[in-house]
Amino acid sequence: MIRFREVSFRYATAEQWVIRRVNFDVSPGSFCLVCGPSGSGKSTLLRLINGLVPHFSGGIVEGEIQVNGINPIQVGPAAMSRLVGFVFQDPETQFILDNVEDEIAFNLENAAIPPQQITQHLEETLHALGILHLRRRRLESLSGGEKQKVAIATVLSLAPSILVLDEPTSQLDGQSAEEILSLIQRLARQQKLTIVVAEHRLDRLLHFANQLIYLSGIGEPIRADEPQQVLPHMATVPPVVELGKRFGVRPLPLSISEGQQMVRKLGLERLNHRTSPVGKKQMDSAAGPAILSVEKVSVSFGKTQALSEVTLQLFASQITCLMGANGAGKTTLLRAILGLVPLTQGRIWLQAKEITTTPSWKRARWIGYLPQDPNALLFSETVLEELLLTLRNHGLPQERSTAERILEGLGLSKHALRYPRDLSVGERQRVALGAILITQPQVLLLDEPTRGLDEEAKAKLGDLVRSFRAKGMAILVVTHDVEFMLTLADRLCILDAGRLIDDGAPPTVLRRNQIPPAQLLQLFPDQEFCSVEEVLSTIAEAWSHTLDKSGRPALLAFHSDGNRPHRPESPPEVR
Amino acid sequence: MPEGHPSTPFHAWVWLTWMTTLLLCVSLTRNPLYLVVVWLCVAVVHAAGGMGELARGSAPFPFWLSLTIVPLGALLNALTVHVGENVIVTIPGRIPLLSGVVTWEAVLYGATNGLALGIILLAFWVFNRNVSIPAFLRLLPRAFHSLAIVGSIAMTFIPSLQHQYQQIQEAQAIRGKRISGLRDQLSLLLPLLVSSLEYAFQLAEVMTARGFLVSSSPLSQRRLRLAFLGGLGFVMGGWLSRFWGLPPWVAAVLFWGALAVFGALIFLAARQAHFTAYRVVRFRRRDALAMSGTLLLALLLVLNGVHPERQFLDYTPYPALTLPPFAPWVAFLLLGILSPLMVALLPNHDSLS
Repeated sequence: MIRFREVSFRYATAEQWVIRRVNFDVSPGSFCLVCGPSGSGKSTLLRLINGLVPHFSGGIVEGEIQVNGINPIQVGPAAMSRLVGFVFQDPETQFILDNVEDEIAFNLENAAIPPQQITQHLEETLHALGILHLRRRRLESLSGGEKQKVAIATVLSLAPSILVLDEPTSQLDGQSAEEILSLIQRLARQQKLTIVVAEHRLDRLLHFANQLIYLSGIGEPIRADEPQQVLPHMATVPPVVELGKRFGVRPLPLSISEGQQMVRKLGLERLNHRTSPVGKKQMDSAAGPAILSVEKVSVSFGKTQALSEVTLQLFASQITCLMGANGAGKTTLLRAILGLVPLTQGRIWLQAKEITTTPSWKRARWIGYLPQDPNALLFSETVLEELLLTLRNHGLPQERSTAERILEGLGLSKHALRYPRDLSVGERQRVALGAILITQPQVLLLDEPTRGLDEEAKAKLGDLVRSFRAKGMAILVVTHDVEFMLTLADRLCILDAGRLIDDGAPPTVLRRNQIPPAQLLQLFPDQEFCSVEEVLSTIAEAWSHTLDKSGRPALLAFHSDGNRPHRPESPPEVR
Repeated sequence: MPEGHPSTPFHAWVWLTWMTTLLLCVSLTRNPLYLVVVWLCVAVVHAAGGMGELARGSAPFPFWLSLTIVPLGALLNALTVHVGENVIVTIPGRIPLLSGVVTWEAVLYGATNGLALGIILLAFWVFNRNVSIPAFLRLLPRAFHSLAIVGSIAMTFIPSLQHQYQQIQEAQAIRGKRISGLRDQLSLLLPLLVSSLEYAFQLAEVMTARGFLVSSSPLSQRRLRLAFLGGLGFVMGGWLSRFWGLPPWVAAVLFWGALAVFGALIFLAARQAHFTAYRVVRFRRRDALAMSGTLLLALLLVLNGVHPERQFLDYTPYPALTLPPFAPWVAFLLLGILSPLMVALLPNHDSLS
């Protein structure tokens, strides 16, 4: 169905190839997952399938591409549109009309589908995607996930045989992302579509994929094969796969159920319960005075009560995560703290000073706020200038050395003179962080900071946030990403319908509120593991042995078929 | 097949007539009193949120934007047009364009022009919110379908621009920037331009991937382009024949030939435009009723236009400031602008369907 032979591409003005000598085949009805770090060429690869690259972007293509026997480079994206449905990252920019029905019908009208058939196509598509109830809804009233579903419906209405999705969850919050990933899973199960999807969140899709394409970096050779063949070569994989890799289990577990099977076979299900250090950390931190206090804060938008008497304190050197369903009021709380929305009731204190009526631009000196879309904060010509602009706005001395030091801390020194919007998503986010951190705020508010980040960028962000904690900052992070939260949070708060309903140690709060747990918590329900490293060290500790050089418990002897390991009688042997 | 648009009660022709009448009105008079009446009428229609669900949640942004143009127009005209008897101040020196007297006449004329522009802006806003894009596409001949699609996509920019403006304003506050005066507002323009261009690029890519404006065969496209060039050749030939002093019938033949070529071109382009219509929109009695008020006003304006003395709409503050004439019956007729709103407010307007 899709055939790439020795395909290379580079932009006309660039010397470096974005993708180089790529070969792979995708057979009809396959589910092909494309993964790799940000900027590795995933989007370019997908756009070559329908000819958007090079027809829309320009550039030089070498090699041969065939999609259902047609060369997309020759016929162009418009002609390919009936064969390849393409869904983009941002649902906000994919619509022209006001409501769902008209948007889909407009697509069919332009394809000159006879009016009698439009209703049929429309209803069949909405039904297949389970969104028939959204038919009369206005697009602006839909959640991000619902909008992305409508975008998928719009392209599927023309009944393409291939559906290509370019990081369809990267611009969505956690809950909306879950909706889309579930939908893709359902499409893969029920429809006879060939699906090619680029996605960072492998944990949800890996076990559906029968083909995995891994791009390790720009211009680097790619690996395209069955997931079991490609996963061992990938730098970052979901925790369940990582555990399998560390234990040397073959075939690698791809889903939670396969992971649970592995845990049972290895006899790890009865590990000693350990006390999470998280709760202790929180107790220690809470002993000091609060840096920021929110007292009975309420916010209303017309008749909608967005926040109801929320009381929260943030302490120095503590990372507090805030979770809750869409529309629970998480972003509104952050905006209220910074003064971007008016309070109907309540007071806000920064240490001993009340700031309830202080304008936002003044609060920004002491409270750093990173919104969901970091692009919104980038105005300047260069990265360095971006940081200096904040100092200028606050009337502070524009010390170049301070800005350079912060850029170094953020790992952005080499990009200091680049245009910020040309950088990758993760780098742009770090520039925006730098721009708000240069005033050395006491409080840092992060709204969905992992949105659109790959695993590597997420890990870097986690390290950065921990370094801010070490400097004494009080940090509040709104996130839907349970895995990220567990690696980071000292304390977890839950907001529900505008009310703060829980506050405590993360694993305990997660369990109390029945939030879908992280993979490791599902594998070890009695434990409070936050990372694969913790699992391995706990196993090693439990069996009184150390890890070998590759991080594998030294005394676990595994068979390649994943049989249960045995404990040798002899003393520990470090390999 | 569904009928009409679920969220707008009037046929697109009603709004087109309304819009055309307003443009006619604004182009025919510079009487500030009548223009204030027109602005108020359009503002009331806008404030009512239009008449349908499409127009729900009318924002104050266009109000302020349309009013902001008034002082800007006054300032610009006062500084650049140095005519009038009532002098406010004199700008000394020889500064090009600026030096000279600043008069009350120029201030009033500039403000009136600003008000006219503000009315056009507000009226377009109302039109945009009440006419869906498919309805707008159906208003235009099939031959101009490509153009209509491009225009429609451009129409989606207005609300997105407003949203982006608010986001940027907020982002500036997050970065510690206080937005207070005009100068601060200007600092938002560049980020607004950048984000708008990014949005435009993304939307264009999406539309391309979805196969919008799939052209007919390259051969027929080439033929259409050649025919267009041929038509232009006829026009040019006709003009040159007059220039060279050839007999008048030569130019007439060439101009008529050009007309025939362009007519054929539109016919062929219409045949090549492949699209269908999902909704059947009928013109109902209440559409006719809503249209009649604005048509009556349009008729009056046309009569005023052809009248040799143009006595009831004309006004100019130059050379000396006088009180603008105001006839209550003209103001009453201008209320015809409210006719879609009045018909929409009729308690049993459903029975008019």
